Amino acid sequence: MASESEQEENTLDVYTGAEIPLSRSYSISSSQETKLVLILGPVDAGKTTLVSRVFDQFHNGPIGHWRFAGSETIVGYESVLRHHRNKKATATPNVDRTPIKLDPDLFHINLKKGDEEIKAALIANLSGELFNNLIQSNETIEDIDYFQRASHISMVLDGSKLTNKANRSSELRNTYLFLERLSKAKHVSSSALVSIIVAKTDIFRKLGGKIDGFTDETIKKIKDEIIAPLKKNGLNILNEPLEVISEPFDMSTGFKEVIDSWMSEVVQQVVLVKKPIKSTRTIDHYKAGKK
Amino acid sequence: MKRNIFIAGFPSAGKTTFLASLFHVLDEKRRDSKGYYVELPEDITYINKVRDQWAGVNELERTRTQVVEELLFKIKKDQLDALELSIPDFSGELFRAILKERKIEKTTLDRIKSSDKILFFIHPENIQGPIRMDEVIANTEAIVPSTDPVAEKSKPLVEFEYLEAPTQTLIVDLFQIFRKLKPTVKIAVIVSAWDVVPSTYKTPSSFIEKNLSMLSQFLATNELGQVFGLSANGGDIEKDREQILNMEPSERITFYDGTSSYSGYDRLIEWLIDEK
Repeated sequence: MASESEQEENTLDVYTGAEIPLSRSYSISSSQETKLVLILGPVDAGKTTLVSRVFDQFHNGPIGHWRFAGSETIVGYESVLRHHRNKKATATPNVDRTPIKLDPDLFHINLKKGDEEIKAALIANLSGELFNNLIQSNETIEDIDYFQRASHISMVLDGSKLTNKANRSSELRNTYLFLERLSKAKHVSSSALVSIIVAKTDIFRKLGGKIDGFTDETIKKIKDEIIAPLKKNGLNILNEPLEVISEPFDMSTGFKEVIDSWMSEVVQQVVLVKKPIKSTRTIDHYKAGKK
Repeated sequence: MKRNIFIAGFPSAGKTTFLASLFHVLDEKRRDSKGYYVELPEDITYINKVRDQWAGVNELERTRTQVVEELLFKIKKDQLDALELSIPDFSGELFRAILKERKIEKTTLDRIKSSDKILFFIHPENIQGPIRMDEVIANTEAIVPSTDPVAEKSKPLVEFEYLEAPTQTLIVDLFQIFRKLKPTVKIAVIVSAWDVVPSTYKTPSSFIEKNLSMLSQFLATNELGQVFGLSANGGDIEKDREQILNMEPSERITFYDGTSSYSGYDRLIEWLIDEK
């Protein structure tokens, strides 16, 4: 019988299929057009579920024009989806809490639209605690260098909290404050596109569609209190919040819009408003060879 | 011209049935020698045994995990160069083990690296789909989450068993492993037991597109190969046993390339020979 070390010698590791640390994602980003998407939001907002359900939806068919072309993190997606696939699961399964990491783990998906080349999305599902810490100013965005590399930032709002009048204002306020800091941070690319995604509204819709407070009025509040002022400040943010309903498959909505925004080709180039710098030098300086 | 063919599929996908019926067809061609010159493998003990089981319309013995039966056929037809088909019979458990352990044995690895084409078998009745959330909710006593946050947080996390993932997820994962080992490899997905597939599916591709959509998208976007259908038994060996026994074994085989159906394996051999 072969010893353990002999067995080791006769086998080779294949890729793990788990999430990939940002620091080891070069092999993907160097070989094809790649979008780096940051998913942010409070603890339990539905960020992890959103990311895994984007992958899951492709089991049922293409999403809009987007077709699935592969993933290096299939095992990672399935690890999250087990909570949804378990028949004994509750309607609001507990997914594993995402830890705070300086080198965040990324989900990967390759997508193809029509005859275009395959493009990759690397999706960083950031810890809800990180969002809370950033709100409380314990950490600064400038210290987190991957913000600068992001092509897209999705803020996920917990739709169930928006139904609660007591929580709604603080939820909207925190989101605004965070994005305001983001718009002022020098380390965030001015061309990065920001979107607001409202998740976890499904369960309330199943209760007959009557949602206490989650109405057009809430959408209007998101637009008036978050999107409009931030746009005015120069943040490259989508005009409308995206609402994602992930269950059941055949009634799911919003995924096409989410992927379209993540993969958008030409983002609106917004120059952040800067105070014009008035030069004190005159033409005489140059004529005189002065600097 | 030598062609190394790798046969893959999960347990009970129809791999050994295919090999048994292919061996039978080639053995017959060797004997009648009409247009074909066929040389059989040196050791035919194993393949002869499963061929007899297949011809007698019996359940075939399962391929053992540890044993790889090497089958080397030499075929020459008309003006074509002699084709050497090297086909090992790997157990379906081996592929599940690769996915679970994330390790591959060197012998299997070498086989894949040296392969020109891979035939991957899928049995239409062995497809595990993703469980839909409406099914989950139908099985759930409470629709509304508990108002007690402590109770909500104390719900046990579900153990992760990757092999319980949807069949198409596992197949895509396996194909990605194949492609990392051999980037240029072409893969034919063969829907076995095509006779049990409802006639509403006109082609094997349409069956895959509807029932294994993620796999279908993956094959198309990566231009990976083709989808075929195969009925190697000529029907359900339990329900239609008597009827099948009345047929000549080689007449039971029908191969579908998506456009037409063919008796025997000439069309498949043509695809295997093709350089593309």
